[in-house]
Amino acid sequence: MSEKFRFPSLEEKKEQETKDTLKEEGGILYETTKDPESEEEKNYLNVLGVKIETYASKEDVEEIKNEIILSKLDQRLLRRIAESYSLKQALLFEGDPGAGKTFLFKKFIKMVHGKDAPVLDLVGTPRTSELDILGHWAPKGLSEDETKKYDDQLREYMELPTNQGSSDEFNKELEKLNDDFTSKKIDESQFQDEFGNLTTKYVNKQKEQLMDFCQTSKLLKPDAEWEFKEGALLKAYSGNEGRGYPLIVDEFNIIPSNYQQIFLQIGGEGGALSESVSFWGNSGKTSYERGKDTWICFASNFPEKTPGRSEVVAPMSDRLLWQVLPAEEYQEKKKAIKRTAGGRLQKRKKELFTAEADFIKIPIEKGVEWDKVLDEKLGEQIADVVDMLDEEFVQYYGKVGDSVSIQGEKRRRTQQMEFSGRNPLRLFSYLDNFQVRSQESGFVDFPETIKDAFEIYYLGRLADLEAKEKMRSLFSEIMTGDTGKIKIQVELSLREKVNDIIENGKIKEITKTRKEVLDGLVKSIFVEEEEKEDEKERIIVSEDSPLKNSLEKVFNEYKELTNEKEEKKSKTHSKAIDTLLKKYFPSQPKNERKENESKKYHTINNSLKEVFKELLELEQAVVVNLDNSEGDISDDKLFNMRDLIKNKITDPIILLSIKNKETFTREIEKNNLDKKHAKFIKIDTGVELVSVRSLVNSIAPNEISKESLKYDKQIFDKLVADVFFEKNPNIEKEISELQAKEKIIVLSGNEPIKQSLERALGGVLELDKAVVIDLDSYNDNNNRLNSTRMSQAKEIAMRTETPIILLSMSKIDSSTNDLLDKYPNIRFFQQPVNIVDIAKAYKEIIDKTKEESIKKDGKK
Amino acid sequence: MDKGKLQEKIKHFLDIVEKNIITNPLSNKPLYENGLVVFENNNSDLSARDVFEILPKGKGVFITINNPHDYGEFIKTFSITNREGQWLIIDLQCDPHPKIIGALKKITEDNETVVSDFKGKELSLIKLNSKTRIVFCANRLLIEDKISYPYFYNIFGPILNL
Repeated sequence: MSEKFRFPSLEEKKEQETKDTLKEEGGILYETTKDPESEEEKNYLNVLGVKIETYASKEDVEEIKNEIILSKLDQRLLRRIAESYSLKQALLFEGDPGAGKTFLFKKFIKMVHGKDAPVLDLVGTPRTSELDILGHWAPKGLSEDETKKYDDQLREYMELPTNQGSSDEFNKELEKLNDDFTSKKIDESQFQDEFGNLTTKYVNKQKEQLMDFCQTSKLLKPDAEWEFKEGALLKAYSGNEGRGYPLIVDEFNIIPSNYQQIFLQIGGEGGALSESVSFWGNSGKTSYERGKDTWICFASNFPEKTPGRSEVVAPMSDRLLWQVLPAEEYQEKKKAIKRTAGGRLQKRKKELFTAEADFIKIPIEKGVEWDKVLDEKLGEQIADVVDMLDEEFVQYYGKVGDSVSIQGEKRRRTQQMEFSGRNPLRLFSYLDNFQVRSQESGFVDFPETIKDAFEIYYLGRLADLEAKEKMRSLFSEIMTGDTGKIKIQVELSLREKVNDIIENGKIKEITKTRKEVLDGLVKSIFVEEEEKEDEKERIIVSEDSPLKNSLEKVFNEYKELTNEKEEKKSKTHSKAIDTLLKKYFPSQPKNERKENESKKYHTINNSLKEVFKELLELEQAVVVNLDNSEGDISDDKLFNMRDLIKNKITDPIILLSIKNKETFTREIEKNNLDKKHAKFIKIDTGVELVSVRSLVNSIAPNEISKESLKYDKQIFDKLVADVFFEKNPNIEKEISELQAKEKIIVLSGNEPIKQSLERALGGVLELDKAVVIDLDSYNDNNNRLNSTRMSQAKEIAMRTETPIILLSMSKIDSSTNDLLDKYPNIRFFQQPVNIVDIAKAYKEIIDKTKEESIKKDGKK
Repeated sequence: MDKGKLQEKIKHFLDIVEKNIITNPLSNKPLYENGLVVFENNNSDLSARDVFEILPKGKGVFITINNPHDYGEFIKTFSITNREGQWLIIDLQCDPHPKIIGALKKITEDNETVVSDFKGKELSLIKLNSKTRIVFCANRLLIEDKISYPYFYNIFGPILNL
């Protein structure tokens, strides 16, 4: 098989450039772009492929970049941070103390908000309470002296038995509520309501007590105003004048479980942060809307390694994008840090901490609307795969669980995870934003994008590396193995359909792997788009193209150069291409040219080079440079063209000329060339291979729908060409062998049809015996059926049981009808006819003949 | 050990706290660390005040934390000493407020902390003055029995046991 060529699109080239730059820049890039509409300049931070708008200056980002050392683990984590920040998903890192969980959060936030931006944080301790998370009441507008007095009094107040009592009472009630929710006695909305009532009761009680206390102690005037001071969560949502803040909640697992549940409110639609959180204050329920900059990230230690074994409450686990930092990976990082003497040894640092190409994934700017395209077919397939992955993972987790390595010993995890369906929603959201491109096809690679998302949302939760590996194998099995294979109605080529009918009497069902299905569907989207593109008329303009000969001639040379055994062909292919390119596309123009012309020459020359390669890949095309040495359209070549169209209609023909469209069209019309073959591609500065491919497809489409065909002299040839284009390397040989055996009899005065039929039926139907008769006379415009050929068909039918297929552009007449009644081995088809129908008819005749011969044998 | 030798030991310890600059294992940024003096028994001849008095006059400020619900005093004093480049010696007599733990943790990790609703600002960033150091003094029993934060020792660099 020959090596496949694919030329990257401009978008792909841009993506590759960004990837290269990111690699050079250590994975973090600062970009400034102008909004084309508002002309406003915006600054972006590109973190390993994820682009985020930043308030920080370039200097700030450079300074922070120089401060941090990104190990492989850090790069993975930083990418997670950037992804979840841009998708507004709450993120939790679980790992050993000192692994750099909050460090990375903080550095990222500073790269987005500026190095001197205050980062809102909440360090969890066993004494963290709703006062820290939600807030508390305090008198408003106190002077410094008054504040000091108030603080002193507050300390006294906090120690008062009445306050201690109400605090204990609140804790008791909250604990009960928490138990009811955990044991599912009440659902989430009931919990939220009850929780609201409880906080209202307690916070207001606390306020009243404080006011009483202040009045009794004459600390404040009776009319002193009070204000609610928002805690970390409410500030994160609506502080900063409504813009919100990113919030780091550190040591989350050691916050008492009652208070962890306050964060349940952050779980919103699609697995992202909720649009608002509520607090029940004096004036009833107050909603704190999520601001533009709101984002919440959590850091937690392994409960199994934490004194007191505090865990993150299970319902909370579902609201977070959970990433475990496995101890093994962290050990590797620690070792690397030691080997660089804490980052001082610059040379080693460069060696050990480089931006890994694997972690840099550039999302496609305009991805596929996977849930809308192809009448939702792609979306259905994706949803099925995700459903399967989710179910398998949850089932595995429920059965086997997870384990954590403590001093080299594996222990079953006590941290519980809850899966209520937010993970698949997060995955879908990821697919909207981070589609990657397949290097092989250039299309969106959904299997790879789903794999990335599966790693993030599912495997990221596992601490056990072996379990992760098992899950990865499961993914591969579902995506590319037999387990995930599904029966699917796919668009079969005509050759496949015909063969199925001949062999099985029906078109068989096809099973494909999930990857094949997804890739196939994506490909069909792009093919559709290419066809749309092709509707635009184009002109190929080549300036004195060095392509002096038709590609046929070049093909012959190519074949000679690659005339090796099949298995060696792929090796010799590139060599042959190089040789031919050197021959036909010299690096410098032969004639002396002015400098500016030389540039143009190179551009066009390069474009043609690529066209040339592309056509070689297609292996079925004729390229003709119509211009003669004087720069005019050559009459000789036009004449040859006409000849080609008449006689070699199955080959797509690409015409090249430096003339403008009008001149070209005039010449085409003057020489009676079919306009369908006079489609032209314009090449300006870059090659438009898509257009060339579409052009070739439009001349000889792979699939022809009956609807798209109109009555046309060439129509049957097109069908034939379609079949023929299913590459069969042995087709010529097969045809000549069949012809030598006289197993195909084709009677037709119409040369092109005759040739086409020979090739098509010989190559596709592989008939042992068949007679195909074209009843139409050449140059007969009366649409009458040729009586001589009718007689010939009758003669054959009388003597043999061979299936006889009659073809005509006209309707069936009475004499042909009589013939059909009399001889069961004759079938008539009015063109255009689908070759599949011919195959079905052939099969019927053969089967019927067999049945009858069995009957005859039985009688004997 | 006689008191003189113990004072020498403290002096050496304070020297270490002052001069020891570590490189954050995750970044290239040099960091100063908080110090912790642990009195091994309640009847120790030395107190937090003794630690403070070893510092040259005017170099530091001494405060006592004896209310587990108070953090305002600590934040205020820290902001003043930090502005003046002075040391802050703390006699810890109770489980400190979670916000004090939080502030100390951030100072250790990145030599800066963020304070909420301070001096009329919703959030204020306080960067550790290069001359300022924070030294906590506490009894071992208090640390083991009363302090609820399980990683208390992790928020300090040099630790002196007396």
